Amino acid sequence: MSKTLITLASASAAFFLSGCGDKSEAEKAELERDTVRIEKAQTAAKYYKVLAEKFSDHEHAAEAAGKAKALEGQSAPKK
Amino acid sequence: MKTFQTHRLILACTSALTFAAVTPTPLSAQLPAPVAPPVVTAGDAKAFDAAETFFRAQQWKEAVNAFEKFLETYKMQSPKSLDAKFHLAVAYVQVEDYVAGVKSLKELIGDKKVEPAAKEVAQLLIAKSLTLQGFKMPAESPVQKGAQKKFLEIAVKEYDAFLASFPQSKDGDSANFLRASLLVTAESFDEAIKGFSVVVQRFPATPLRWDAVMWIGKCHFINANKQLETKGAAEPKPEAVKSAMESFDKAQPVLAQVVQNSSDVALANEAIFYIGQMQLTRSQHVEAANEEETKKRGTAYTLAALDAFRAVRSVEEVITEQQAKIKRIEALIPLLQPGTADYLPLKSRYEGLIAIETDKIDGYKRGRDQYLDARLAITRIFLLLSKPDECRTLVRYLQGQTELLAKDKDAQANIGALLCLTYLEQKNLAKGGETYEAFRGAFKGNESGDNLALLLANLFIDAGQADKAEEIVNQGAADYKDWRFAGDATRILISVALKRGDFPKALTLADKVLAANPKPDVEADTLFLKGSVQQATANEKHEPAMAAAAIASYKLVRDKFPANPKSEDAWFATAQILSGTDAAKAVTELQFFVDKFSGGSGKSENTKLNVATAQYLLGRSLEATGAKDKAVEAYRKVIEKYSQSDAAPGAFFKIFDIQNAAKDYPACVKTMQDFLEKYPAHDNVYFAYTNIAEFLYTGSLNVRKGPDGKVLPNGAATIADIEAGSKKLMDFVDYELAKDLKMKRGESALIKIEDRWIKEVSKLPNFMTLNNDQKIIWQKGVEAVTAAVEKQIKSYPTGERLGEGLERLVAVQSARLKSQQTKASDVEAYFNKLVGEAPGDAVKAKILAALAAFLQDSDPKHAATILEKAFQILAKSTVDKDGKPEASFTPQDYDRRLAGLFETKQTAAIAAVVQRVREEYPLDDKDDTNTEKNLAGDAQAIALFWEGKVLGEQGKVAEAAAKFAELSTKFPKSTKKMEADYGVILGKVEAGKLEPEFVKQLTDIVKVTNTKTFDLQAKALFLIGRIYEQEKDYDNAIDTYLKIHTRYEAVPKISGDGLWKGSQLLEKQSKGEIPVKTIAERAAAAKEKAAAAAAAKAKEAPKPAEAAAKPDAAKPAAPAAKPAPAKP
Repeated sequence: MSKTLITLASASAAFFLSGCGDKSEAEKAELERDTVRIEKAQTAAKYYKVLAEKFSDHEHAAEAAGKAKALEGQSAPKK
Repeated sequence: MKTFQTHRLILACTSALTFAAVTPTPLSAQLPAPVAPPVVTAGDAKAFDAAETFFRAQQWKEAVNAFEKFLETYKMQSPKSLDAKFHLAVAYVQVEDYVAGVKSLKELIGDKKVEPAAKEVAQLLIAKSLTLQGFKMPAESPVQKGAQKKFLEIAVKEYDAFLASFPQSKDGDSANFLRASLLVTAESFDEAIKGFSVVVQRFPATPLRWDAVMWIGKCHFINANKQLETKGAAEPKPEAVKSAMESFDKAQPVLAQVVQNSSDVALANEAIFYIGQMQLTRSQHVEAANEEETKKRGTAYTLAALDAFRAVRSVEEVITEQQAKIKRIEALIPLLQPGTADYLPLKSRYEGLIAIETDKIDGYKRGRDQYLDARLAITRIFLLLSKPDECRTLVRYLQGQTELLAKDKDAQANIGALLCLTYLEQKNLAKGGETYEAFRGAFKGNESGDNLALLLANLFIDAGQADKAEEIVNQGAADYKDWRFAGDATRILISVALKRGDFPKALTLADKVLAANPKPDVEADTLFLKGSVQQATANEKHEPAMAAAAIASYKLVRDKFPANPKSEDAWFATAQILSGTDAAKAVTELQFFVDKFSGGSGKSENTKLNVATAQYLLGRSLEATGAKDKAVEAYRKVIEKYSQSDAAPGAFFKIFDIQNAAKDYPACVKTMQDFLEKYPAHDNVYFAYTNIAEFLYTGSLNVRKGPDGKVLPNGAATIADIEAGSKKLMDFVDYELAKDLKMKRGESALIKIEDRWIKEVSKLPNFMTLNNDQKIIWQKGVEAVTAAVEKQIKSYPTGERLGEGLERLVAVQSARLKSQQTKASDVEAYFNKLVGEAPGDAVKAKILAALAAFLQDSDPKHAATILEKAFQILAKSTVDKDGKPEASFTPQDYDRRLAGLFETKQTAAIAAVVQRVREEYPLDDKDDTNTEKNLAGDAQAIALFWEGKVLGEQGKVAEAAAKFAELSTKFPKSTKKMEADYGVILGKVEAGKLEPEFVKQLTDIVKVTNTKTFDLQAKALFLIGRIYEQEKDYDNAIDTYLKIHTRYEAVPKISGDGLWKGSQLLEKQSKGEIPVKTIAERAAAAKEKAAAAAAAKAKEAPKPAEAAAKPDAAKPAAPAAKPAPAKP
């Protein structure tokens, strides 16, 4: 599911960027960083989940499972 | 051999016969009546009687003077003149004026007035005179011998003239006998034998009969020995040996006849002595179908010689028998009737016999004592039979026979030399040296001990005392002028130089010998040795020029001494060098060599072996020229024609290599199977099994062909392949155990099985995600490893690799636990069961240590208790048969034990364990401390590490640093060195003291892949992440943290920590708590970082001038030697 989300997010970012030809370089970069932050959240969720599932004996496994769930909720595309 | 006749013996018959001729009837009375017979006056009769009185009294000089005066006074006018002339001739012979004697005798023969009977006597006396004159001639040099031989031929002709003129002479026997004796001295043995045979056949009643028989045997015996004579140390030619053995075959029955039938003790004694010598010589020249038969027949001859020598009587016994014999003859004389026709002839004959026998007694008294010689021969036989103790007993006995030895210094020297030889044979350097010194003190330069210095020097070389060997050889050279072992002595000196690795000196010595115009044999040997030294130098120093010089030396041997056996050795050595330098030329040389000598025509004793090696090298050279098929063909010839050679087993592996390179794997397997069939007990059987197993393990036998029909790369191994490979290795283990092979390698085979299955299991994903087929593989793997380790415990409980096997058992049991296929308590129970069944405390302790390793992560305290128990059971090192401590525990066991002791602050105990580690894992020359796989190095690094840790704990910072520095220098690839480095970096990172080199140093640790666990690598990678994080390089920090679980899943704690830290940073970035970079920014940052790194590197690199000044530093490290592909 996260893979689908990343694809969607990237596509929307590209679409968004293509329509901002008159922005400054700094603005463009900030916009890109926003996109990256979204991706970061998705990636964080993915790895928290790996920790929780693959290393279930780890001291942070349970906490990681909670964080993954929370981050997935945040980064889901708003309908 | 000196011919026996003495003056008295020859003249014995002559004098008697002369008297017989002259005494009863004056010569004149037998002559035809002269026309005007001279009158016997009172004066001439008186003068004759006076002269004859001297003659009868054997006052020969006075007789000569008196008869000369008589003839001067009365010329041939007196009736006594002819008698006087005859007497004068005999007297001349007696005073050894043979020329005058023969002249007078010839004049008498030419005188018509002398009757035939007197002429007969005169003619025989001429021959005898010449015989005596011939025997007195010097015969040392070849020229002298030649002159004597010619003279003796003249004497033989005089005997021939006598025998032709007087065929019915009663002296026919002695004339034939003496004639044959002359032929012996002239070394015309066949003719001599014919002459003695005439005596035996035509004069059956002659008293010379048994002497003649004896001489027939002796002629064959002497002839055989002559044929075996060689110059210097050369061996007689095969045809000469064959002919000599045939002569011995003829001598044997004749001498045996003398022993059995002659009833002459002296002759029989001599004959049995010769039989002994003959059998002893035969024992050294046995030719039989095989080595066993040769040895058997050789021993039979030696034992026959021993029997013969034992039968030789003492000289006193022989003399007593001779004296009794003389008395018996003497008793016959009074029985003769004076006045009868037979009286005087028989009396003369008996007196002659007495003279002969008396002469023999004198000979025995003067000559060598055959009894003593026989005893000395027996001592030598004991040495030949490798019975030095028996030999020494006899030598000691003979040493006690002071009377026997008193007059014979040579025998004393012989005994001294033999005593020394007994010790040298037993390689008793101390006693050998002592008796050598004793011999030298009493008999320096005596020929009987001329080999002692050489043999003793050889012993010193074997004992590694090259200086002493050199000293002894120099003594030998000083003691023996023209030493027959001079060549061997030089070879020893060259060996001494070679032992010292002093090739230049060896070459100088060889050149010194060559410059002194040595004998051909010595020159050939030395030239060859020089080539060998040059060859060795070329091999050691990789000097092509020296290889060429060696070939040049060998060429000289071949050109100058084509008939010398060394020429063959030189040819082979040349081809051998070429096989390493010029394969194409080597092929030509080797092919010629093999073609020439494969039929067994070689003269050198080395050629038989060299032909087999040459055939092997031919294969190697063909292989090097790319002619693989021909190479295989050549190797096959080694196997078929020289199956007993050392090269033959290796040829199988060479064929294997070629087939392997051609990817013809089924053929490879067949080759290995053929090897196993042919050499089932060979040391390399293990490699044949492992090679086959390897093909099965890699799936190489699963041939797959592409659409074009060509064989595709290796097919993947199936589980059936791995099972088959494991079975093959297990077959080897069972085979080794059943055959009790000398070289034990079954443990290594079991470890191979364990590793192969561990590899297979580790390829599988997490157990929870396995499908049924994968689970079956997993289960088979665990079971196979467990079974192999259990076999190690049962069949190789004292094996060096048991610890390694137990580590693998821990690995699979840990995998079972992780996969929830078992519980820790069950595994502990299993290990305890193994402990209960283990043979001996050492094995029990090792299994307990393995259990501790298993429990280390899950229950460290319990693990420490079990480990302590293991160390209590095996509190001290066990020792091997040489008294050296054996490895009780693995280095990792010791590491865990030391960690436990460190944690509980038992520093005194740590010191003791460190000491034990050092003793059990000593570093020797073979241990390269700079390699990654080195058990002894690992153990020594662990010892150093914990010493450093203790010192650090005690606040001795400088000493601790010194230990860690030593660790880094001595064991740069050891895990402990990395652990120490990691500890230092961790301390600094935690103190916030970052250094630019940290990431590189930690990356070096991460790169290490040969460790048994990957905890340290995982921790190092995690620390890199932390450093990036501290440097605020968040993207790299995240990448690093998240890499850990993909690489080191087997280290769950650190993998989980990496995921946690990486995810946290990602989350923080997503929330804007820490910065994120766009793609362009990341690329720019990476570029900047790379530029900074390059600048730092450039700053570090030496300037061109510096680099030139330090050429070694600029050189790349030498590549590690690759192991041979398949050959052991």
